[in-house]
Amino acid sequence: MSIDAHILKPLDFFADFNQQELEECAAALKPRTVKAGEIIIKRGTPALTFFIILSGTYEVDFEKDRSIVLEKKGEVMGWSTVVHPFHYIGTVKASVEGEVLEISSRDFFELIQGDNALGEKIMKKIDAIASERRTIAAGSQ
Amino acid sequence: MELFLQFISNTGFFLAEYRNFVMIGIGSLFVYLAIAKEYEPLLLLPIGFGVLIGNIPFFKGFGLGIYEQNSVLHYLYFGVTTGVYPSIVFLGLGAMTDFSSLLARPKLMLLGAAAQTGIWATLLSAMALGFTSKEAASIAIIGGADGPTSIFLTAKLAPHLIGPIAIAAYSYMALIPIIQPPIMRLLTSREERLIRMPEPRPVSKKEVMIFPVVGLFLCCFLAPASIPLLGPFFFGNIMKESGVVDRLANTARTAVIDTATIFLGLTVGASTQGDVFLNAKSVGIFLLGAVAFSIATASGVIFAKIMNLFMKEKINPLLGAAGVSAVPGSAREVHLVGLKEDPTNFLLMHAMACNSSGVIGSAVCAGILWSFMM
Amino acid sequence: MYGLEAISANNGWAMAITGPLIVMSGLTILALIISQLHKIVAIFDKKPDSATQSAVEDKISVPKILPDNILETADIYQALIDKLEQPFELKALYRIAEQNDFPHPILTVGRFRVAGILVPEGEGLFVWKR
Repeated sequence: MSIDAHILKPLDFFADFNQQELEECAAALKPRTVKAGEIIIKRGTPALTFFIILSGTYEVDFEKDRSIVLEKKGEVMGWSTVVHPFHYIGTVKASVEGEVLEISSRDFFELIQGDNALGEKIMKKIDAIASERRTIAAGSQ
Repeated sequence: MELFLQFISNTGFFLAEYRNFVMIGIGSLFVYLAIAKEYEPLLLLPIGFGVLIGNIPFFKGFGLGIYEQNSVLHYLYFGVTTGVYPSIVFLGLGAMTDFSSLLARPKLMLLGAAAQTGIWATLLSAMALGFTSKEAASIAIIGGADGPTSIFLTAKLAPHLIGPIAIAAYSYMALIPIIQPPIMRLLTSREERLIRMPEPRPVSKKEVMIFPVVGLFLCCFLAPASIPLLGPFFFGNIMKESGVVDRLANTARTAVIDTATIFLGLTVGASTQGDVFLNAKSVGIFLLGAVAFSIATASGVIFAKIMNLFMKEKINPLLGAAGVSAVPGSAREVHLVGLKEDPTNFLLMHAMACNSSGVIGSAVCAGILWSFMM
Repeated sequence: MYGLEAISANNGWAMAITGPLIVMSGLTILALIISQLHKIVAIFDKKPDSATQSAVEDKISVPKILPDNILETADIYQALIDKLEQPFELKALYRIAEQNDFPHPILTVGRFRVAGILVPEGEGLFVWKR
């Protein structure tokens, strides 16, 4: 089941998207409820889905005991789906019940097929987030 | 008692032979690969389940089988034998494709043309292996890496081979992540894989709207036999880009294409029966399919390298591999191989341009092959 | 019949030469036409692409590493903002930043938004509050 574009509008990730772009993204994203304690991403497994937080708190554990907590609405998880290294570099566990939006890599590439510019825009944004997280994972911060 | 024995003799258990069980095993494998491994599930699941349905033994003459007149499956199979389903799939494909990357960098269209070399090389190979010219053409089109095109041409030229050719085509499309990357790495140096493509220029709405009209006229005047594929394809695209029939475009790329895909896959699978599939010809088709895919990938990459000899602004030769028509699978593989060399080098948009061009190229090739065989 | 004999008997060589030539010629002509399409459209529109044109002509000098101080970075970005009509889409700002070789435009724009220098106006448009 897809969502309404207005749900995406207030999210940071989509702040600079126009209405048509929001509608295209909304058609591709699927909402999912996450239970407390559920592991939605396992480190080392192939990255096939990425997630955007709508609610809840998520602990991300990287290698060498480094971790961060993501709870801000609009934060992205599982960005390795579209950028290097294509396998998850952290394990994501929900601390409390929450809701996320998910999109598989297959659906993401179909989105790009239908709108190349939108796809590139999303990928560049994800890459910026990925650079930051890789730095944390490597322990430079 | 006699009635009971008669009933038993009409059951599938009584009528089954070894070929039924082998095909049921193959169908089960496809279903497993589609669900558990997610290998091209949109096609492998209907095809796999169709194989299961089509290979359940039954008493002939009661209008049950796909090849029997007046059977439900036969009526559904009509869309395959007449080429209706592939046309409808192309309508949906056109309605979901954005050509702006291709319009921003028209040179990439040549890579889509070059990648179709796999078709022609396979044509010669198939003829050399003893296939008739029509059979060879149907096998060769596997090199276009486009399932609907393969089914369309095979339905016209060699309908008895629809099953093995469709299964070969979709199997190799699912194996793109295994077939393409080694070929790409073998034929390119690290320096070439690191080539960055310049940012594409902005493309106006008018250009994307004019393109399907220009493309339709040019391609279909050149190869009128490709009208059943490219006509709906460009129609779907202009519906998408015009902005005045969004509801129709949306229906075309969702409900319509999904309906056609369901019945296409199911009936192609059901038509794939043991006596057609389990023979030396099928083995030959599968081997030639691998040859076709590999040559298509290699020729696209090599052509890009040749283009670079004459161009100041180099093209990343990995993009040549995206000239095969498997959208968006091969574009994704090119993107992934490029990112592995340089995590900041995004080739995806450019690869999509080559991919879209490959769809047009393979449909034109199908039209040309069909007209050669007329 | 097998091998080269079979290919010749089925007219394979002629098909394998003519076919690719037709496909390549057709798509080359299509590529040539679409490469001129934007010029033809521009003649009918009579509207030059001024934003891109002026950005390329007046390239702005920028340090390789931007200052940590967000206000100093904003001063450097002012030259780009002056080329855009407010409110503007972020993709226009990214494009003009990349054309002038500004480092990490996406991260920098994110910092401007956090600092309240770049403020959303709705419908994907932003204003520069500096």
